Amino acid sequence: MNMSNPDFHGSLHAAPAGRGAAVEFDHISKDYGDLTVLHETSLRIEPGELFALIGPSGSGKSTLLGMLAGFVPPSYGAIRVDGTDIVAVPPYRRNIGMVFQNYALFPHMSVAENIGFPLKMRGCSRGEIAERVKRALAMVRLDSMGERRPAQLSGGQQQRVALARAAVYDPRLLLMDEPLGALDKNLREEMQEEIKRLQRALGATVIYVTHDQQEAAFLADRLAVMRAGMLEQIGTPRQLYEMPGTHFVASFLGEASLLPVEELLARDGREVRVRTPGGLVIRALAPSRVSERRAVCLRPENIVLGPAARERDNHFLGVVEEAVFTTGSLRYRVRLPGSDSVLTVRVPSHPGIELLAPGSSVDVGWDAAMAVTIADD
Amino acid sequence: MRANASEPLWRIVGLGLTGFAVLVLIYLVAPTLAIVPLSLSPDPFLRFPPPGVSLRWYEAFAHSIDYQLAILNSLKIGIPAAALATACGVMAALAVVRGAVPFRRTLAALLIAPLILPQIVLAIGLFPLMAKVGLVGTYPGIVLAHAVVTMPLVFITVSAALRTYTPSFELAAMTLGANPWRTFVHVTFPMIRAGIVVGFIFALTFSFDELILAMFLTSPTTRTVPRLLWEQLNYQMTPIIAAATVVLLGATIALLCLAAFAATRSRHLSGGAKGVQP
Repeated sequence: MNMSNPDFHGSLHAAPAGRGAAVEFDHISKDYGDLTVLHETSLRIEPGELFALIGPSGSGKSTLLGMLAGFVPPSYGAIRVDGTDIVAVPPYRRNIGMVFQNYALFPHMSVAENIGFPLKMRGCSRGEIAERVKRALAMVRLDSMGERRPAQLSGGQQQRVALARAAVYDPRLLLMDEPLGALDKNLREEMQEEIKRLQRALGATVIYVTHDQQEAAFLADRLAVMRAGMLEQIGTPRQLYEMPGTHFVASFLGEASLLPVEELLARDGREVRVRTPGGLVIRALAPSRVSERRAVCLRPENIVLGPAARERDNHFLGVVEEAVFTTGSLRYRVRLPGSDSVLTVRVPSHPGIELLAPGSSVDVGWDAAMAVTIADD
Repeated sequence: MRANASEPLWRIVGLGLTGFAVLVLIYLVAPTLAIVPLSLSPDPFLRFPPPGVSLRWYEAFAHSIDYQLAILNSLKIGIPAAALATACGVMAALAVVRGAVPFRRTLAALLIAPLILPQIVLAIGLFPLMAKVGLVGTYPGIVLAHAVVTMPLVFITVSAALRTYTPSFELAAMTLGANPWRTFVHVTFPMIRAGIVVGFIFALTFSFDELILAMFLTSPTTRTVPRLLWEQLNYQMTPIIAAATVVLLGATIALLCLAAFAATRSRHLSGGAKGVQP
């Protein structure tokens, strides 16, 4: 990631870590007539946490955020911020900061007026507004831009103004709805750094909605994968990537190869031996949380090709079906013997390595600890 | 079409089209403009072509007490009617475009109905009602009637203005601590101001030119310019009518130019400011 912006000018106020709000969704749900957009959901977000909600569009993540902001009244349940139910509190009294995907900067106001707007609504004096706007502009490194109109700024600058505006009144909870969705890739990575730094400086709890799994994994302390109005899995980015509970989570976060499981042969603590429909016997990890295990999930970088594969817990002789160079790695599709299971394998690329030819046989192997059984859905 | 412009056949077709468009324009505008030479006639009767050129009827118009009173009445009726229509039209547009109201399509159609229905229907319906409450011939009576027929104009222009930007601006204002009223004052109003101004001018223009409701609901003391013109046409066919009409036409065109100017200026101000990408 891009680390080229070290000149962060510190927080608006001496913001101690741990001043963020605790958020609790308590058996919350939302339906429009017969259409349920959010099934009964309970979720607790810790003070100061950067929590990401990810999932495809229509999965309910924006509904959850809208409920917290006060735009979408829940059909059932309670939403508590620091223990107080806020469902009946109108949006303008919730004191929650929000950054929108299209930034929603008021086009008829200057940058400084935009940032000063929440302070004006709170009845701050002119002098105080000027002072705090100045500090907020410095914080997002736009010191000289106060007099400009939003339309005169670049996308990244507009985004920073939106951040400053949502943070200038020191909310203890910040909501971000795909805040980087409209930016190009390089700028997005730079802004991710900025958001992370800002969050640390403010100490606020941040709830971040995105459909970009890389962004979520980089930013979030914890994340929740949503699907069809339900929480599919919650955990740290590493937990979700390495121990996905379902096929959906496994393929939503990064690349995964799935081998179907026909029969459980043996279980020894967390390790199991399973048989695939093609007759392959595979050793893998089985986290106990989910009862129904229907497939083995493998990440492409955890599979070894060549002679070294023979020393692994699982070892087969496969056939290369496809071989391509991608930046930084060689990417193979390898068919396992006696089945139509094809594994995606990624091997670090360097000048001393030959690209295997399609059609050639190759040893494929991985340790039991690198394969995880998941619910196949 | 453009790619084929060099081909003679297409060139002829193109010229023909242009010629046709010019003819249509003349057909539409000429009858209206025929009033201009009529108004310059020195003759005491309306006839075409006028036998000479004179400004005597403009002079007569300028000195006519009847017309002075009628112009004053038109303003006394048009301005409050347009203001009332604007207040109601803005609220209706906000409710239909931004509000969570059911049947919004039906509602929008109903709101536009007074503009589409024949005014004679409204006039015949309103007359006995207004007579019952004693509003026939009074200023409030005709102001209310004109507000009803012009409200759709404001509703249409303001709805269009509201649809040019996403509601996230208002949602943002609310998360930042602005209650609904302050959200309207600081965010919604500045963003739809041009639509409101244009709607008001349309409403004023409409009231200024409206005849049928004025015939039913005004009295000789509250009669408007169009009603006076109509009455004079029935009794005396002097070119003072033509002179008055030209002045009315000029005022209408000036107001419409003002509306066009307001619309262009707002587009220029907020150009590219819809807040998406650089």
